[in-house]
Amino acid sequence: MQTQTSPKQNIGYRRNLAVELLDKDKRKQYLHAKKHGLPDILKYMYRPVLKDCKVVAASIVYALAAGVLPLLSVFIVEILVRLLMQNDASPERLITAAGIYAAAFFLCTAISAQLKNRFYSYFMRLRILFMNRIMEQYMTMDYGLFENPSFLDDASIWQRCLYNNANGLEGTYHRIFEMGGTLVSAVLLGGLLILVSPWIALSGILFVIVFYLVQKNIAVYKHERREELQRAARRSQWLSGEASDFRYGKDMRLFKMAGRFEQAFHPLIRAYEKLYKAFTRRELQLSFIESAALILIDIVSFLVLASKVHANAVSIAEFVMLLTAVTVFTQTIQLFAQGLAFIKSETMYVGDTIDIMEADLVSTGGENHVPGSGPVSIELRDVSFHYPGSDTIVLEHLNLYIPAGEKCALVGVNGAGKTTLVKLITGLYQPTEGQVLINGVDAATIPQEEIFSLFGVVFQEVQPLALTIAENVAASDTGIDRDRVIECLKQAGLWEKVSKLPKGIDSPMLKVIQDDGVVLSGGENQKLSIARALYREGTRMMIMDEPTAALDALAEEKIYREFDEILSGKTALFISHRLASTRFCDRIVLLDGGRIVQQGTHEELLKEDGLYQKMFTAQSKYYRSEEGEATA
Amino acid sequence: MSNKSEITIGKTLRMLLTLIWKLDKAYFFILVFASLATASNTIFNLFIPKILINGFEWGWKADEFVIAILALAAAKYVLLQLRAFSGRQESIHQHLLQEKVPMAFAKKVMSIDYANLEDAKVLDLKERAIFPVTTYGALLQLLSSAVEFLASLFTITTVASILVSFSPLFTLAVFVLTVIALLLSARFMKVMKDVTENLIPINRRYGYYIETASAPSFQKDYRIYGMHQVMTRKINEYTNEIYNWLNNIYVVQGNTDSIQALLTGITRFITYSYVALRVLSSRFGMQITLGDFSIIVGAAESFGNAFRGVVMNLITAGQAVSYLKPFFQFMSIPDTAEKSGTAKPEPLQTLAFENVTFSYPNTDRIVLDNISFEIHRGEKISIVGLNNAGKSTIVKLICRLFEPDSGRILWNGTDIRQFDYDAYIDMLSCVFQDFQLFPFTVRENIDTEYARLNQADNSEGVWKVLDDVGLRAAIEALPGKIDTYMDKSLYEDASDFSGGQKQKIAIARSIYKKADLVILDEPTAALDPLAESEVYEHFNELTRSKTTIFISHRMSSSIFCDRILLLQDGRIAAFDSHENLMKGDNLYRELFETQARNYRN
Repeated sequence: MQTQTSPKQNIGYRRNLAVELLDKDKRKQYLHAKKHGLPDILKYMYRPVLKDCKVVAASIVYALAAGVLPLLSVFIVEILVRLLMQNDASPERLITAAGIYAAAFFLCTAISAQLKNRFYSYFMRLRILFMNRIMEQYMTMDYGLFENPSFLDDASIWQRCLYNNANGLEGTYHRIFEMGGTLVSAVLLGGLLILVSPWIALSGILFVIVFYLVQKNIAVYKHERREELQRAARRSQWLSGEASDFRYGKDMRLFKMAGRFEQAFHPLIRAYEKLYKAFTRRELQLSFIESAALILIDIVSFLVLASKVHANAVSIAEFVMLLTAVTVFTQTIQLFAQGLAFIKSETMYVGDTIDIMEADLVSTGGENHVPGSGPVSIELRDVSFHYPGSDTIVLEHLNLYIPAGEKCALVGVNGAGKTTLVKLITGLYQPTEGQVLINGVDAATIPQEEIFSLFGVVFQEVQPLALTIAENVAASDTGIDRDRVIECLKQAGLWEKVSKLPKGIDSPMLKVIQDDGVVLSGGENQKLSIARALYREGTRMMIMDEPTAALDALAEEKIYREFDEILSGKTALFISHRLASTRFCDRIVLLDGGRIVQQGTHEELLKEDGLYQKMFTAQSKYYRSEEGEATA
Repeated sequence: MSNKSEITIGKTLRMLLTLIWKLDKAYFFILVFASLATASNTIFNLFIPKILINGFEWGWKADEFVIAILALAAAKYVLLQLRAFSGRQESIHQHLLQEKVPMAFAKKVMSIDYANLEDAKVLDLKERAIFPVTTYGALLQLLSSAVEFLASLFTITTVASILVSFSPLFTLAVFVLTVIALLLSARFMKVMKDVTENLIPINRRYGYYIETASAPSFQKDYRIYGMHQVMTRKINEYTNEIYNWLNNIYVVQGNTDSIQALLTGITRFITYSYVALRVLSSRFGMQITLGDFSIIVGAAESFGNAFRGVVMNLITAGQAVSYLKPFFQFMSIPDTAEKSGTAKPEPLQTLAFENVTFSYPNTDRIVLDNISFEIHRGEKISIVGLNNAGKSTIVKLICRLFEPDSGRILWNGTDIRQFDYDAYIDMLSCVFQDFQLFPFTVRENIDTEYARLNQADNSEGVWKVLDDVGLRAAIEALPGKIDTYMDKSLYEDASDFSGGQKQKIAIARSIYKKADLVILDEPTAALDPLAESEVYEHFNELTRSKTTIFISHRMSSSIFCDRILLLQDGRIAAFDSHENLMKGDNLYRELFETQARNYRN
């Protein structure tokens, strides 16, 4: 590759979203660039639904069957009262009328119940598919975004939309399905009442408008305040979660801190209460208007009917029928208005969720590839770095070259930036300034996934997932090379333990999925993680961050002895506080204050009057003073 | 452990009510108030047509109609507002309970025996317990159906009295038909129950994958190792499984609803025919007016609806309660205080293990096999052994986090179980291997009694220990100094601390606590060599007069200890000075040499 030296050349650099999306307004701009109108959101929601003829047909038939139902109640009252008013009213005719009504009622109810229930889980599935898509976003978006709590806060709006089936996405689907019936009823009853007097229908329409506007106002009000409320809830939940986390168990008891956790809870719950009250206040304030609009229908329609009675324009039969019609109309129109308001309110969250789902959260770009095969070389050229959103400079104009196949040890005092350096090399973060070159190619021009695939990393804190041992080693559930899994477990020194398990490498891990799941100790988890790094075929560089911290001296020594074999044909970067353990490395690099201050072999560094010598002396003096014969 | 034994629905319910009563007494009044408000709206609406029809029949004048209509409207307005008001109150209390219940749960976790916390089964139970509350929303579901249940119940009582005064026989008929309808739903209830039981574990597993997918701990693995793919496949697998189960429920529910429609149809047929016949003539009882006709037809309908409301909400509530069962199973684990002694310990002279044998609960492996040793005031002891040799177990036994299966631990000759737990624990200070700092201020983390005892100014002492562990400069550089919070999740102006800094604070904390016996389990694992040696040297100084137990994989640390307790296969292989042990052929020497070799040429 010849292009890498000039960063100016246009070869598709990756973006750096972790930095770009730091600012709150920019984030909003990026995530919610398009303001979705209700029609846009509905179009998005119904794109998959409309393709399914069965669902469309079911919705229409449901609307008709459910829509006719309230009308039946009106008609039966009318018919019965009319029959009763006739002089020759006979019991047979009354009973026949009631029978026909009951049959029609049964038919319509059964049809609508069947349709509604049989298509209920169809919509539930759509919600879960939305949720799964969001999970994919979480697992693939830029790592730097994931480490930005404000970004996660913003993104978590989907939870409001997808966590249950009563509201949000699924709630909207169900409500719209039902609204078909309500709409049919409202139109039919409205039409019937217009024949009597336009005022009743008009008051109904007025109510719908008032109710909708009020609810929309409330919904917008809540949507704006939701974030704040959510944050308060998250804090209280976080504290409860921490306080009930078993890892505090010992210190909690020894230092009697239980009370302090409770004490911390009180201001949080008070803050939440205050916010929640404010959150629901508008609802109460505006409920006066809603109720007024609702009783206005009653007043108008009763006055209209009463005036007809007074003018002797209606018979008692008609009066009873109309009264029933008005009651049913009021109920229907109320349902309709509530439905509209619900849809308006909930689709705001659906819109936000669609934004998160569709947002481009992976810094894609870069057409370059890592040339060659076998071990890679790594070069950090004038790299400076601070974490997005933090002022602390972690690395400062750092230069480091690790030739292909070298075993390089990285040492330094606490907080020197060793772990950060690993994040930069593996592409989890991009440098603030300078370049990371892999086999001479600027990493910023290589697709992220390709960079990830180069490294076998053993992280400092390791935990398995609730998969089988084999799946944890292979990092996959398909195409597992079982012999290779066993081979890697042997190399990592975990086979002895695994081979004794009844289900061997197929043993499920953790107790979440299966009660008999295997729970390993910290050191064993570390070994498992080493096995995983070994298993990966494409690994061209191994990176180990304190891989033996939890092991005793003998187990540690055993791993060191096998490192030559483990690391053969790979570049290796090895981080450890135990200086002696770095001696099997070709070269030791000492990081201090964000820069490389010393590098060379163990022997070379010991001769230099520097930090390395100081650190080594500090660590070895007890061993040496004991034997009295050790040489520096 | 008796965790396998499940608790009953009845006990769950009783515990739930007790818990809510403890957390929020007002909730019950609001619950009743909100239900009454809802029910009175329903009932009032029944009477409106009757009043107007009666007016018609009595030949009301225009102004009388107007007055009546306005009065009805005013009353309805008041009732609507009552409902709006009580609905808001109810929602506020529900949401507060949703936050308070997890804290009550945390209180339980903090007060049960520590041994539970190392029991994988209890950990599992904990996760099963809290998931339905925090993620599944079972509590909110239960509280919501409680209101609707009560409202339906109130409606039934009122409506039933209207119907009974009209015709007891007719009421009985409506009642019987409704009951038959519900009995026919029994199959549905059974399917619902089965599916719910099957779904609880599936939901939980699905929840695990969803939670893990969005949790910070595995994000590096997903990216570097492409493990997001296996996660996505698992999530889809469980999605399909859940979908299939739910589909079963809804198909059965559709059929059940249809059967109910049939019975409702029959009920309405009887209602309309019978009531119409009563209007027609007095052959079947006292003749009634058209106004009565409308109210009784409405009442019969409301009766059916409310009755179904009662039963359906009971089912929903029952479902929620069965989801909450593990929660209350956890809540019934007994508290620690119940087995604490009363004696007060004197300053340490000797600490002795006397034939102590110990296995972790539910395991076969004997971790400590009949071990005995004694340490004396002022001694510094190092415990050495391979991984899993039982080093940390000794610490846990001394701290009374576990009890020996047999044998005794004696503090100045007295069994430590006889001491008041709080008084005993005050004599000890520990840095555990997996120590945790608390998400509060630096000051509170070092002086852990500060918040609890509301002490006077302790700055001087806190700064002194920070000085001792070499953290003074770093803490002074923080804007909040020692009052800086240590976790950003709660306090946005908190600072991040590195692993090494945290370890130093943990050490400072153990120094600050004026204890008699200091136990340090791998206290320098996260420290760089310079910091480590600094700690070693300071510790020698700081713990000069104190009795100290030291555990470390770094063998160099055992040199400055007076005696080394070598643990091997659950027994004490040796208990001697470093010099003596290095003379013989033993595991200690092997371990030491292995490490020392690397520091020599």
